[in-house]
Amino acid sequence: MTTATDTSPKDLDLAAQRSRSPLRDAMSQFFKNKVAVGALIFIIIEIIIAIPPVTDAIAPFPYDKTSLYDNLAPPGAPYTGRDPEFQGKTFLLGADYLGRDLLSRTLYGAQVSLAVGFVGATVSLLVGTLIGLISGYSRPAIDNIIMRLVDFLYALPILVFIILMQVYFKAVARTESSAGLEPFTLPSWFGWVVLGFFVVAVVAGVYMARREDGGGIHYLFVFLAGALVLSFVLFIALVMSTGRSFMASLVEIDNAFGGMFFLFIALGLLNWIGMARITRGQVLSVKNKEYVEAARAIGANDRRIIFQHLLPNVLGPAIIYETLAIPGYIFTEAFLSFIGLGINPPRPSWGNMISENYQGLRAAPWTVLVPSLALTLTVLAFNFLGDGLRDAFDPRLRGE
Amino acid sequence: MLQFVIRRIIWTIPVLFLVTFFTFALVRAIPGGPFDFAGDKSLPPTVVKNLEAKYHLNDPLWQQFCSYLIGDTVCRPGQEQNGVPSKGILLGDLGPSFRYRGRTVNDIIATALPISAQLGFMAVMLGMLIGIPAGIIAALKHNTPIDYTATFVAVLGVSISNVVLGPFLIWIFALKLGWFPVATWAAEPLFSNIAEKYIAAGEPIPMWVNLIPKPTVDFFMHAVLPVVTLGTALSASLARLTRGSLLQVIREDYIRTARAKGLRERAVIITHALKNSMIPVVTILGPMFAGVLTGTFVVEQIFAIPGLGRHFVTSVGNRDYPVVLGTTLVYAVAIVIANMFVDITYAWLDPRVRLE
Repeated sequence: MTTATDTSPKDLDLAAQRSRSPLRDAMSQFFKNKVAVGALIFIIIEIIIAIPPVTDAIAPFPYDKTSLYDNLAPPGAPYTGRDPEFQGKTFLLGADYLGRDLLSRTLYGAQVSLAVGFVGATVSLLVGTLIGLISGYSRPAIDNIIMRLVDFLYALPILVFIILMQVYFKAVARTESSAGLEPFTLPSWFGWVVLGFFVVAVVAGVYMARREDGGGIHYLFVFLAGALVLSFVLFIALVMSTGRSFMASLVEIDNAFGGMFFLFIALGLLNWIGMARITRGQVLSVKNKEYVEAARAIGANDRRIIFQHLLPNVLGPAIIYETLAIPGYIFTEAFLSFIGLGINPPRPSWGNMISENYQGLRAAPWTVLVPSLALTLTVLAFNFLGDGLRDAFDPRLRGE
Repeated sequence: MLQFVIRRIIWTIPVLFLVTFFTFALVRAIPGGPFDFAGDKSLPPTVVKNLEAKYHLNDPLWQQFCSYLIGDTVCRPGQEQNGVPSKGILLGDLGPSFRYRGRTVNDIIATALPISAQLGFMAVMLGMLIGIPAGIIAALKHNTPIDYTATFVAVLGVSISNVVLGPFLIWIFALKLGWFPVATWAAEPLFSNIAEKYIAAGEPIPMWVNLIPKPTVDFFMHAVLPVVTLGTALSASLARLTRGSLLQVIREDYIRTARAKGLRERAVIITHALKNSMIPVVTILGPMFAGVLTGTFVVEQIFAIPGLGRHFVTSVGNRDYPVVLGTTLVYAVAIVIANMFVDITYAWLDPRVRLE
C-alpha cells in the first residue's frame, strides 16, 4: 500500500486491460472452473489411452482373446486358461461370457466412442459451417434454397434414416467383400504421410494465426480440415489403385476402421443441420456490421471477409455447440451397436458390450457395469467440458 | 396468424412426399430382397418368382412407387386384379406385410403405434412435470445448494444413456427387489366392449380403440420402468434448458422495469419472466419429440415392448419394404406434426416470428 504511489496505478490498469483479450479472458474464466478442467483432463487421458499403440501396450489382453475356462470370471480372478502367453495375468475387472477381459475390451471400446464422437463432431462442424457460411453470405435466392433443404432435413426422423443407411452400408459391405480380390492392406508409409499432412497443417496454421496483419486461431482449424480431407482423398486413391470400385474402396476403408467409417458417414451426413443454422444466423448478424463494411470499403475481397471477419465469429459458438453434441454421437453409436448395426464384432464398443451381456445381468452384473460406467463417465466429462466452455466463451451467460 | 398456420400446413406436403421418396429409394437400394432366406429356409426359385409377381416386385420401380403413392387404378390400369392390389397411401392403404402373413401394414401400425404413443406420451409428461419445475426452482434459487444439486443431478441425467439406464433399472427394481415386472407392455383398451365387438366380428381393432389404455394397476406397473428410462434424460435436459433460459430472462431490462413498477414478485416471475423463458424451451420440444421417438426404439428393444420401433428394426433386417416404409412415414408424420405445433406455439409466444 505504501509503494502504490511510486508505480503509477494508471499504467498498471492499462497493462491489465491490454492483457484481457476476449480469448484470454475466456480462458482464464474456463480454468477457474475446476469441474470443467477435471473433465478436460479426463478426456485428454482417455484420448491418450485410445491411441492404438498405447491401447495395445496397456491392455492386458487382446480384445478378442477368449478363454472358455474363465467365462464370467469375477473381477480380480486369475487367468486359468492354457495359453502360456497370458499365464499369471488377472482379469482386473472380470471377464465376459466368452472369457474375454473386460478391462481390455473397455479400453478398446474407448477408441470407438471417442472416434465416433470426434469424427462425428468434425464432419458436422465442417459441413455445417461451410453450408451455413455459404447460405448466410450468398444471395437470398441461394440462401432460400439451402434453408428449405435444412427445413426438410429437420423434418426427417434422423435415427430412422441412420438405421436405414447402416443397414444399406452393411449389406453393401457383405456383397462387396465377397468380390474375390486380394485383401487390401495399407502401405506402411501411409500413416507417416498422414502425420506429415497434419504437422504441415499445424505449422502453417500457427504461422498464419500469428501473422501481424490480422491472423487468428481459425486458420489452424481451416488447415487441419484441409489435412483431414487430403488424407481421406489419398486413402480412397490408394484403395482404388488396386482395381477396386469406389464403393468397394469405401468398404475397405470401413473394414480398416472396424465398421466405424460408415457410421461416420451416416452420422455426419445427417447431423450438420443445427450447425448450419447456427453458422448462418451468426453470419447474418455479423455481415452487416460496421467493421465488415469498413473492410469492404478498403477493398477486401469476399475470401478475406469470410476468413478474416466472418469465420472467427462463427467458429467459437460452433465449437461449443459441437462439444455439447458429442454425447449425442456417442449415444447414437452405443444404441446402433446395441441393436447390432454399429461396430463389427468381435471389435468391442461399449454399446455392443452392454448388448452382449445385459441378458446375463443377474448372474454377472460386472459385465454390464464396466462398459456402462465407462460410457456414462465419458459422456459426463464431455457434458461438463461443454458446459464449462459455453459458460466461459458466451459472455451473455457469464453474468455479473 | 391464420395465414401463418395455413402456410405451415401446406409446407408439410412436399416434406412428406420427399420423405416417402427417399425412404423408398433407400430401402430398394439395400442389397437383398424380402424373400431371400438363408440356408435351410431358402425358397425354391419358382416360389420366389411367384411371390415377387404377387407383390409386383418385378415391375419398373417408378410404377411400384407410383402405385404405392396413388394406387393401382392410376398407375397399373387394367391390372388391378393381379396379385395384391394397392389403393395407395393417399387413400390410407399402406400395403401388405411381406413377412407377417395375412397382416397389412395398417393392422401392424394400428396395434403397435398406440403402444409406442402411450410410452412416449407418459415419458414426455414425466419429463415436463419434473424437468420444467426443477429448472424454474433452480433458476430462482440461483447459486444456492438447491441450484447446485439440481444442476448436478440434471447433468448426470443427460449423461446416462437409455442403453445403460434400462438394464440397470431392470436389474435393481425388477430382478433384485421384484417391485416391477421385467418386460413387456400390458395395455388393454379402455373401451373393451368396442374392442370385443371387433374381435367377435373377426376384424382388426381400429387404432383409436387401442390408443386409450385402461388405467389398471398392471398397466402402470409394467409402464413404470420403461417410462422412467425414457423420461429421465428428457426431464434432465428440460431442467437444464429451463434454468438457463430463465436465468437469462431474469436479467433483462423489462424484468427490472416490472420490479420497479412495484409488481409483486410472483407477478413478475409468472407473467413476465416465465412466458418469455419458455420460448427456447418450446423450440427444443420439436427435436426433443424426435428424440423421444428415437428413445422408444431403445426402450422397446430393452423391455421387449411390441411397439413401432421394434417392428421397424426387425422389418429393416427382413427387407419387409412396406412395413419399413409405413413405419418411417408414421415417424415422419409425427415429427412434422410436432414441428408444426412447435412453430405455431412459437409464433404465438413470440409475435416477431409471424412477420418473417
